[in-house]
Amino acid sequence: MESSFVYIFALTLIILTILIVVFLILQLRNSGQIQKLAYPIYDYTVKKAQRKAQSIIQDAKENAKTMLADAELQSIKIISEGKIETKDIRESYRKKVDELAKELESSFVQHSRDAEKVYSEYSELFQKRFEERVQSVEKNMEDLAGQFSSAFSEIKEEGKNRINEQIDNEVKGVKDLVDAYKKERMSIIDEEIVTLVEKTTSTVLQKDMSLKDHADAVMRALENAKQQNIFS
Amino acid sequence: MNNITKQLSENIYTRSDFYREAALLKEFLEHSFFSKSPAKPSKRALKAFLKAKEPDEFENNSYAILELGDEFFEQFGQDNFYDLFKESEKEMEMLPFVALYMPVSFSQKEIAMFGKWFRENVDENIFLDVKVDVDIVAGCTFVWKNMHHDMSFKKLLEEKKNEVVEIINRSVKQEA
Repeated sequence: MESSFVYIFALTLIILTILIVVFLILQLRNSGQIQKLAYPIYDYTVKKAQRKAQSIIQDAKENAKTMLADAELQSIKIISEGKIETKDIRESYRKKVDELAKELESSFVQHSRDAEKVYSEYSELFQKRFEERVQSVEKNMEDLAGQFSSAFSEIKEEGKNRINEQIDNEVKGVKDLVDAYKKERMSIIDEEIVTLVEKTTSTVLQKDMSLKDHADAVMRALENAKQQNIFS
Repeated sequence: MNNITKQLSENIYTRSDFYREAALLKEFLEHSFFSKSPAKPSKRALKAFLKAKEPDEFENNSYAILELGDEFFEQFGQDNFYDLFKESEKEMEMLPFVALYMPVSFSQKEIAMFGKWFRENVDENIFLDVKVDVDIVAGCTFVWKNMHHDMSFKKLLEEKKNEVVEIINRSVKQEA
Protein backbone atom coordinates (compact mmCIF):
# COMPACT_ATOMS: atom_id res chain seq x y z
CA MET A 1 0.00 0.00 0.00
CA GLU A 2 2.79 2.36 1.00
CA SER A 3 4.90 1.30 -1.89
CA SER A 4 2.12 2.16 -4.36
CA PHE A 5 1.87 5.62 -2.93
CA VAL A 6 5.61 6.16 -3.37
CA TYR A 7 5.42 5.08 -7.00
CA ILE A 8 2.50 7.39 -7.73
CA PHE A 9 4.27 10.30 -6.14
CA ALA A 10 7.49 9.72 -8.07
CA LEU A 11 5.55 9.47 -11.29
CA THR A 12 3.71 12.72 -10.57
CA LEU A 13 7.01 14.41 -9.90
CA ILE A 14 8.53 13.26 -13.16
CA ILE A 15 5.48 14.37 -15.13
CA LEU A 16 5.58 17.73 -13.43
CA THR A 17 9.25 18.12 -14.27
CA ILE A 18 8.62 17.24 -17.90
CA LEU A 19 5.76 19.76 -18.07
CA ILE A 20 7.99 22.43 -16.64
CA VAL A 21 10.71 21.66 -19.13
CA VAL A 22 8.24 21.75 -21.99
CA PHE A 23 6.82 24.97 -20.69
CA LEU A 24 10.28 26.45 -20.51
CA ILE A 25 11.13 25.42 -24.05
CA LEU A 26 7.95 26.92 -25.35
CA GLN A 27 8.60 30.05 -23.45
CA LEU A 28 12.08 30.19 -24.83
CA ARG A 29 10.89 29.74 -28.39
CA ASN A 30 8.16 32.35 -28.02
CA SER A 31 10.43 34.77 -26.49
CA GLY A 32 13.04 34.29 -29.16
CA GLN A 33 11.75 37.22 -31.19
CA ILE A 34 11.74 39.63 -28.39
CA GLN A 35 15.00 38.34 -27.10
CA LYS A 36 16.90 41.16 -28.48
CA LEU A 37 14.58 43.71 -26.99
CA ALA A 38 14.06 42.14 -23.64
CA TYR A 39 17.15 40.13 -23.06
CA PRO A 40 18.06 41.56 -19.70
CA ILE A 41 14.59 40.95 -18.34
CA TYR A 42 14.62 37.61 -19.90
CA ASP A 43 17.92 36.70 -18.50
CA TYR A 44 16.85 37.78 -15.06
CA THR A 45 13.56 36.01 -15.30
CA VAL A 46 15.20 32.88 -16.56
CA LYS A 47 17.72 32.79 -13.93
CA LYS A 48 15.08 33.43 -11.35
CA ALA A 49 13.00 30.69 -12.77
CA GLN A 50 15.96 28.42 -12.85
CA ARG A 51 16.60 29.07 -9.25
CA LYS A 52 13.00 28.52 -8.47
CA ALA A 53 12.96 25.40 -10.45
CA GLN A 54 16.09 24.17 -8.80
CA SER A 55 14.58 25.02 -5.50
CA ILE A 56 11.41 23.14 -6.42
CA ILE A 57 13.39 20.25 -7.73
CA GLN A 58 15.49 20.20 -4.63
CA ASP A 59 12.38 20.26 -2.49
CA ALA A 60 10.90 17.56 -4.59
CA LYS A 61 14.01 15.48 -4.28
CA GLU A 62 13.99 15.83 -0.58
CA ASN A 63 10.36 15.10 -0.38
CA ALA A 64 10.93 12.14 -2.59
CA LYS A 65 13.73 10.86 -0.45
CA THR A 66 11.56 11.28 2.63
CA MET A 67 8.73 9.53 0.93
CA LEU A 68 11.01 6.76 -0.25
CA ALA A 69 12.28 6.25 3.24
CA ASP A 70 8.76 6.17 4.57
CA ALA A 71 7.74 3.84 1.88
CA GLU A 72 10.62 1.52 2.60
CA LEU A 73 9.77 1.51 6.23
CA GLN A 74 6.18 0.93 5.45
CA SER A 75 7.05 -1.93 3.16
CA ILE A 76 9.27 -3.54 5.73
CA LYS A 77 6.46 -3.25 8.18
CA ILE A 78 4.01 -4.68 5.73
CA ILE A 79 6.32 -7.54 4.90
CA SER A 80 6.82 -8.41 8.54
CA GLU A 81 3.07 -8.23 9.07
CA GLY A 82 2.64 -10.33 5.98
CA LYS A 83 4.97 -12.96 7.35
CA ILE A 84 2.89 -13.18 10.49
CA GLU A 85 -0.27 -13.33 8.44
CA THR A 86 1.26 -15.96 6.15
CA LYS A 87 2.03 -18.14 9.11
CA ASP A 88 -1.54 -17.86 10.29
CA ILE A 89 -2.86 -18.47 6.84
CA ARG A 90 -0.62 -21.54 6.46
CA GLU A 91 -1.94 -22.90 9.71
CA SER A 92 -5.45 -22.21 8.63
CA TYR A 93 -4.75 -23.67 5.25
CA ARG A 94 -3.29 -26.82 6.71
CA LYS A 95 -6.27 -27.11 8.98
CA LYS A 96 -8.59 -26.61 6.03
CA VAL A 97 -6.63 -29.06 3.98
CA ASP A 98 -6.87 -31.64 6.73
CA GLU A 99 -10.59 -31.04 7.03
CA LEU A 100 -10.93 -31.23 3.31
CA ALA A 101 -8.88 -34.40 3.21
CA LYS A 102 -11.08 -35.93 5.83
CA GLU A 103 -14.17 -34.86 3.94
CA LEU A 104 -12.63 -36.13 0.77
CA GLU A 105 -11.75 -39.43 2.33
CA SER A 106 -15.21 -39.69 3.83
CA SER A 107 -16.73 -38.76 0.48
CA PHE A 108 -14.42 -41.16 -1.30
CA VAL A 109 -15.40 -43.94 1.08
CA GLN A 110 -19.05 -43.07 0.58
CA HIS A 111 -18.62 -42.91 -3.17
CA SER A 112 -16.73 -46.16 -3.10
CA ARG A 113 -19.54 -47.73 -1.20
CA ASP A 114 -22.06 -46.21 -3.58
CA ALA A 115 -19.99 -47.31 -6.51
CA GLU A 116 -19.66 -50.78 -5.10
CA LYS A 117 -23.38 -50.86 -4.51
CA VAL A 118 -24.08 -49.58 -8.02
CA TYR A 119 -21.56 -52.01 -9.43
CA SER A 120 -23.18 -54.83 -7.48
CA GLU A 121 -26.62 -53.80 -8.65
CA TYR A 122 -25.38 -53.30 -12.18
CA SER A 123 -23.59 -56.64 -12.05
CA GLU A 124 -26.74 -58.35 -10.90
CA LEU A 125 -28.73 -56.52 -13.54
CA PHE A 126 -26.14 -57.37 -16.14
CA GLN A 127 -26.13 -61.00 -15.03
CA LYS A 128 -29.92 -61.03 -15.20
CA ARG A 129 -29.99 -59.32 -18.58
CA PHE A 130 -27.22 -61.56 -19.84
CA GLU A 131 -29.12 -64.67 -18.79
CA GLU A 132 -32.29 -63.27 -20.35
CA ARG A 133 -30.34 -62.47 -23.48
CA VAL A 134 -28.77 -65.94 -23.53
CA GLN A 135 -32.19 -67.47 -23.10
CA SER A 136 -33.54 -65.24 -25.84
CA VAL A 137 -30.65 -66.16 -28.12
CA GLU A 138 -31.13 -69.82 -27.32
CA LYS A 139 -34.81 -69.47 -28.08
CA ASN A 140 -34.01 -67.63 -31.31
CA MET A 141 -31.49 -70.29 -32.18
CA GLU A 142 -34.06 -72.97 -31.54
CA ASP A 143 -36.61 -71.04 -33.62
CA LEU A 144 -34.03 -70.54 -36.36
CA ALA A 145 -33.09 -74.19 -36.20
CA GLY A 146 -36.78 -75.05 -36.49
CA GLN A 147 -37.23 -72.63 -39.37
CA PHE A 148 -34.04 -73.88 -41.00
CA SER A 149 -35.18 -77.44 -40.61
CA SER A 150 -38.57 -76.54 -42.08
CA ALA A 151 -36.97 -74.53 -44.90
CA PHE A 152 -34.50 -77.33 -45.52
CA SER A 153 -37.36 -79.80 -45.74
CA GLU A 154 -39.17 -77.49 -48.14
CA ILE A 155 -36.02 -76.99 -50.23
CA LYS A 156 -35.41 -80.72 -50.16
CA GLU A 157 -38.98 -81.38 -51.23
CA GLU A 158 -38.82 -78.65 -53.86
CA GLY A 159 -35.48 -79.98 -55.13
CA LYS A 160 -36.92 -83.45 -55.25
CA ASN A 161 -39.93 -82.20 -57.18
CA ARG A 162 -37.72 -80.18 -59.49
CA ILE A 163 -35.44 -83.16 -60.13
CA ASN A 164 -38.49 -85.34 -60.77
CA GLU A 165 -39.91 -82.67 -63.08
CA GLN A 166 -36.55 -82.38 -64.86
CA ILE A 167 -36.33 -86.13 -65.23
CA ASP A 168 -39.91 -86.20 -66.53
CA ASN A 169 -39.03 -83.43 -68.99
CA GLU A 170 -35.88 -85.26 -70.04
CA VAL A 171 -37.83 -88.49 -70.45
CA LYS A 172 -40.54 -86.63 -72.37
CA GLY A 173 -37.86 -84.93 -74.51
CA VAL A 174 -36.20 -88.27 -75.23
CA LYS A 175 -39.59 -89.83 -75.90
CA ASP A 176 -40.49 -86.96 -78.25
CA LEU A 177 -37.11 -87.36 -79.90
CA VAL A 178 -37.63 -91.10 -80.25
CA ASP A 179 -41.17 -90.51 -81.55
CA ALA A 180 -39.90 -87.92 -84.03
CA TYR A 181 -37.11 -90.27 -85.08
CA LYS A 182 -39.58 -93.12 -85.31
CA LYS A 183 -41.97 -90.98 -87.34
CA GLU A 184 -39.14 -89.87 -89.60
CA ARG A 185 -37.91 -93.43 -89.98
CA MET A 186 -41.46 -94.65 -90.63
CA SER A 187 -41.88 -91.89 -93.20
CA ILE A 188 -38.62 -93.00 -94.87
CA ILE A 189 -39.71 -96.65 -94.66
CA ASP A 190 -43.10 -95.70 -96.14
CA GLU A 191 -41.30 -93.91 -98.97
CA GLU A 192 -39.09 -96.93 -99.44
CA ILE A 193 -42.18 -99.18 -99.45
CA VAL A 194 -43.79 -96.98 -102.08
CA THR A 195 -40.59 -96.95 -104.12
CA LEU A 196 -40.34 -100.72 -103.73
CA VAL A 197 -43.97 -101.15 -104.73
CA GLU A 198 -43.44 -98.79 -107.64
CA LYS A 199 -40.33 -100.62 -108.83
CA THR A 200 -41.92 -104.02 -108.33
CA THR A 201 -45.12 -102.95 -110.04
CA SER A 202 -43.16 -101.32 -112.83
CA THR A 203 -41.12 -104.46 -113.36
CA VAL A 204 -44.17 -106.70 -113.18
CA LEU A 205 -46.30 -104.45 -115.37
CA GLN A 206 -43.61 -103.93 -117.98
CA LYS A 207 -43.05 -107.66 -118.05
CA ASP A 208 -46.63 -108.82 -117.90
CA MET A 209 -48.62 -106.06 -119.61
CA SER A 210 -49.24 -106.60 -123.30
CA LEU A 211 -49.22 -103.81 -125.84
CA LYS A 212 -52.98 -103.95 -125.84
CA ASP A 213 -53.05 -103.63 -122.03
CA HIS A 214 -50.81 -100.58 -122.30
CA ALA A 215 -52.99 -99.12 -125.03
CA ASP A 216 -56.08 -99.69 -122.90
CA ALA A 217 -54.33 -98.04 -119.94
CA VAL A 218 -53.50 -95.02 -122.14
CA MET A 219 -57.09 -94.78 -123.31
CA ARG A 220 -58.35 -94.98 -119.73
CA ALA A 221 -55.90 -92.25 -118.75
CA LEU A 222 -57.12 -90.04 -121.60
CA GLU A 223 -60.75 -90.65 -120.64
CA ASN A 224 -59.91 -89.68 -117.05
CA ALA A 225 -58.25 -86.50 -118.29
CA LYS A 226 -61.33 -85.72 -120.36
CA GLN A 227 -63.57 -86.27 -117.31
CA GLN A 228 -61.37 -83.86 -115.36
CA ASN A 229 -62.01 -81.27 -118.11
CA ILE A 230 -58.29 -80.96 -118.81
CA PHE A 231 -58.87 -80.45 -122.55
CA SER A 232 -61.66 -77.90 -122.27
CA MET B 1 -56.57 -76.02 -145.06
CA ASN B 2 -54.13 -76.91 -147.83
CA ASN B 3 -55.14 -79.99 -149.81
CA ILE B 4 -51.90 -81.83 -149.03
CA THR B 5 -52.32 -81.21 -145.31
CA LYS B 6 -55.95 -82.20 -145.41
CA GLN B 7 -55.36 -85.41 -147.39
CA LEU B 8 -52.33 -86.50 -145.36
CA SER B 9 -53.99 -85.77 -141.99
CA GLU B 10 -56.77 -88.25 -142.80
CA ASN B 11 -54.37 -91.16 -142.23
CA ILE B 12 -51.50 -89.52 -140.35
CA TYR B 13 -51.79 -88.57 -136.68
CA THR B 14 -48.27 -87.59 -135.60
CA ARG B 15 -46.21 -84.65 -136.76
CA SER B 16 -43.11 -86.81 -137.23
CA ASP B 17 -45.05 -89.17 -139.53
CA PHE B 18 -46.46 -86.19 -141.38
CA TYR B 19 -43.03 -84.68 -142.07
CA ARG B 20 -41.51 -88.07 -142.90
CA GLU B 21 -44.24 -89.06 -145.38
CA ALA B 22 -44.48 -85.54 -146.82
CA ALA B 23 -40.71 -85.70 -147.46
CA LEU B 24 -41.09 -89.10 -149.18
CA LEU B 25 -43.95 -87.75 -151.27
CA LYS B 26 -41.95 -84.68 -152.29
CA GLU B 27 -39.01 -86.90 -153.17
CA PHE B 28 -41.30 -89.08 -155.23
CA LEU B 29 -42.64 -86.04 -157.11
CA GLU B 30 -39.10 -84.78 -157.76
CA HIS B 31 -38.28 -88.20 -159.07
CA SER B 32 -41.39 -88.18 -161.22
CA PHE B 33 -40.82 -84.72 -162.69
CA PHE B 34 -37.05 -84.36 -162.85
CA SER B 35 -35.60 -87.85 -163.42
CA LYS B 36 -34.05 -88.95 -166.74
CA SER B 37 -37.35 -90.60 -167.60
CA PRO B 38 -40.12 -88.32 -166.23
CA ALA B 39 -43.46 -90.00 -165.55
CA LYS B 40 -46.87 -88.93 -164.37
CA PRO B 41 -47.14 -89.38 -160.57
CA SER B 42 -49.60 -92.05 -159.46
CA LYS B 43 -50.35 -94.38 -156.55
CA ARG B 44 -48.77 -97.29 -158.38
CA ALA B 45 -45.64 -95.30 -159.26
CA LEU B 46 -45.37 -94.20 -155.62
CA LYS B 47 -45.51 -97.81 -154.40
CA ALA B 48 -42.77 -98.77 -156.87
CA PHE B 49 -40.68 -95.79 -155.82
CA LEU B 50 -40.96 -96.67 -152.12
CA LYS B 51 -40.18 -100.33 -152.73
CA ALA B 52 -37.08 -99.35 -154.67
CA LYS B 53 -36.01 -96.76 -152.10
CA GLU B 54 -36.50 -98.81 -148.94
CA PRO B 55 -36.43 -102.47 -150.03
CA ASP B 56 -35.71 -103.86 -146.52
CA GLU B 57 -38.27 -101.77 -144.58
CA PHE B 58 -41.00 -101.63 -147.22
CA GLU B 59 -42.83 -104.76 -146.18
CA ASN B 60 -42.74 -103.92 -142.49
CA ASN B 61 -43.51 -100.24 -142.75
CA SER B 62 -46.97 -98.91 -143.21
CA TYR B 63 -47.11 -95.87 -145.43
CA ALA B 64 -50.09 -93.57 -145.06
CA ILE B 65 -49.39 -92.01 -148.43
CA LEU B 66 -50.13 -95.34 -150.09
CA GLU B 67 -53.73 -94.93 -148.89
CA LEU B 68 -54.09 -91.85 -151.12
CA GLY B 69 -56.07 -92.17 -154.34
CA ASP B 70 -54.81 -91.36 -157.83
CA GLU B 71 -56.81 -88.12 -157.93
CA PHE B 72 -54.54 -86.81 -155.17
CA PHE B 73 -51.54 -86.79 -157.53
CA GLU B 74 -53.33 -84.88 -160.25
CA GLN B 75 -52.95 -81.55 -158.43
CA PHE B 76 -49.15 -81.62 -158.76
CA GLY B 77 -47.08 -80.30 -161.60
CA GLN B 78 -43.36 -79.64 -161.75
CA ASP B 79 -43.99 -75.91 -161.30
CA ASN B 80 -46.28 -75.96 -158.26
CA PHE B 81 -45.50 -78.89 -156.01
CA TYR B 82 -42.68 -77.14 -154.10
CA ASP B 83 -44.95 -74.22 -153.26
CA LEU B 84 -47.77 -76.56 -152.25
CA PHE B 85 -45.50 -78.49 -149.87
CA LYS B 86 -44.04 -75.27 -148.48
CA GLU B 87 -47.54 -74.01 -147.76
CA SER B 88 -48.50 -77.32 -146.17
CA GLU B 89 -45.47 -77.27 -143.84
CA LYS B 90 -46.34 -73.75 -142.74
CA GLU B 91 -49.89 -74.84 -142.02
CA MET B 92 -48.59 -77.82 -140.09
CA GLU B 93 -46.71 -75.49 -137.76
CA MET B 94 -49.96 -73.64 -137.00
CA LEU B 95 -52.07 -76.72 -136.26
CA PRO B 96 -52.71 -77.75 -132.62
CA PHE B 97 -50.65 -80.61 -131.23
CA VAL B 98 -50.25 -82.53 -128.01
CA ALA B 99 -47.01 -84.08 -126.72
CA LEU B 100 -47.98 -87.56 -125.54
CA TYR B 101 -45.60 -89.55 -123.31
CA MET B 102 -46.24 -93.30 -123.02
CA PRO B 103 -44.36 -96.21 -121.37
CA VAL B 104 -43.91 -98.31 -124.51
CA SER B 105 -43.48 -97.79 -128.21
CA PHE B 106 -46.81 -98.38 -129.90
CA SER B 107 -47.47 -99.50 -133.49
CA GLN B 108 -49.15 -97.28 -136.09
CA LYS B 109 -52.42 -99.01 -135.26
CA GLU B 110 -52.44 -97.88 -131.61
CA ILE B 111 -51.07 -94.44 -132.55
CA ALA B 112 -53.94 -94.09 -134.98
CA MET B 113 -56.36 -95.07 -132.22
CA PHE B 114 -54.98 -92.37 -129.92
CA GLY B 115 -54.93 -89.83 -132.76
CA LYS B 116 -58.54 -90.50 -133.60
CA TRP B 117 -59.52 -90.18 -129.97
CA PHE B 118 -57.84 -86.74 -129.78
CA ARG B 119 -59.48 -85.59 -133.01
CA GLU B 120 -62.89 -86.73 -131.79
CA ASN B 121 -62.57 -85.44 -128.22
CA VAL B 122 -60.16 -82.51 -128.35
CA ASP B 123 -59.64 -80.93 -131.82
CA GLU B 124 -60.38 -82.28 -135.29
CA ASN B 125 -57.09 -80.94 -136.68
CA ILE B 126 -54.83 -82.00 -133.81
CA PHE B 127 -51.53 -83.87 -134.30
CA LEU B 128 -49.57 -85.84 -131.75
CA ASP B 129 -45.92 -85.74 -130.71
CA VAL B 130 -45.44 -89.28 -129.40
CA LYS B 131 -42.55 -89.96 -126.99
CA VAL B 132 -41.58 -92.99 -124.88
CA ASP B 133 -40.93 -92.71 -121.11
CA VAL B 134 -40.52 -96.05 -119.33
CA ASP B 135 -40.80 -94.41 -115.88
CA ILE B 136 -44.48 -93.82 -116.51
CA VAL B 137 -44.99 -97.60 -115.96
CA ALA B 138 -48.54 -97.48 -117.33
CA GLY B 139 -50.99 -94.86 -118.58
CA CYS B 140 -49.61 -91.66 -120.06
CA THR B 141 -48.61 -88.08 -119.45
CA PHE B 142 -49.07 -85.23 -121.90
CA VAL B 143 -48.38 -81.55 -122.46
CA TRP B 144 -51.42 -79.65 -123.62
CA LYS B 145 -51.31 -75.88 -124.15
CA ASN B 146 -47.96 -75.70 -122.33
CA MET B 147 -49.33 -77.50 -119.25
CA HIS B 148 -48.02 -80.92 -118.18
CA HIS B 149 -50.66 -83.42 -117.05
CA ASP B 150 -49.68 -86.68 -115.39
CA MET B 151 -52.21 -89.50 -115.83
CA SER B 152 -49.69 -92.27 -115.25
CA PHE B 153 -49.70 -95.22 -112.89
CA LYS B 154 -46.74 -93.65 -111.11
CA LYS B 155 -48.81 -90.58 -110.31
CA LEU B 156 -51.72 -92.77 -109.22
CA LEU B 157 -49.38 -94.69 -106.90
CA GLU B 158 -48.14 -91.42 -105.39
CA GLU B 159 -51.71 -90.29 -104.80
CA LYS B 160 -52.62 -93.60 -103.21
CA LYS B 161 -49.33 -93.87 -101.32
CA ASN B 162 -50.90 -93.78 -97.85
CA GLU B 163 -53.46 -96.41 -98.76
CA VAL B 164 -50.76 -98.65 -100.21
CA VAL B 165 -48.58 -98.24 -97.11
CA GLU B 166 -51.59 -98.89 -94.89
CA ILE B 167 -52.46 -102.04 -96.76
CA ILE B 168 -48.88 -103.28 -96.54
CA ASN B 169 -48.61 -102.41 -92.84
CA ARG B 170 -51.90 -104.20 -92.20
CA SER B 171 -50.61 -107.27 -94.01
CA VAL B 172 -47.34 -107.17 -92.06
CA LYS B 173 -49.23 -106.93 -88.73
CA GLN B 174 -51.50 -109.79 -89.67
CA GLU B 175 -48.51 -111.94 -90.52
CA ALA B 176 -46.82 -110.99 -87.25
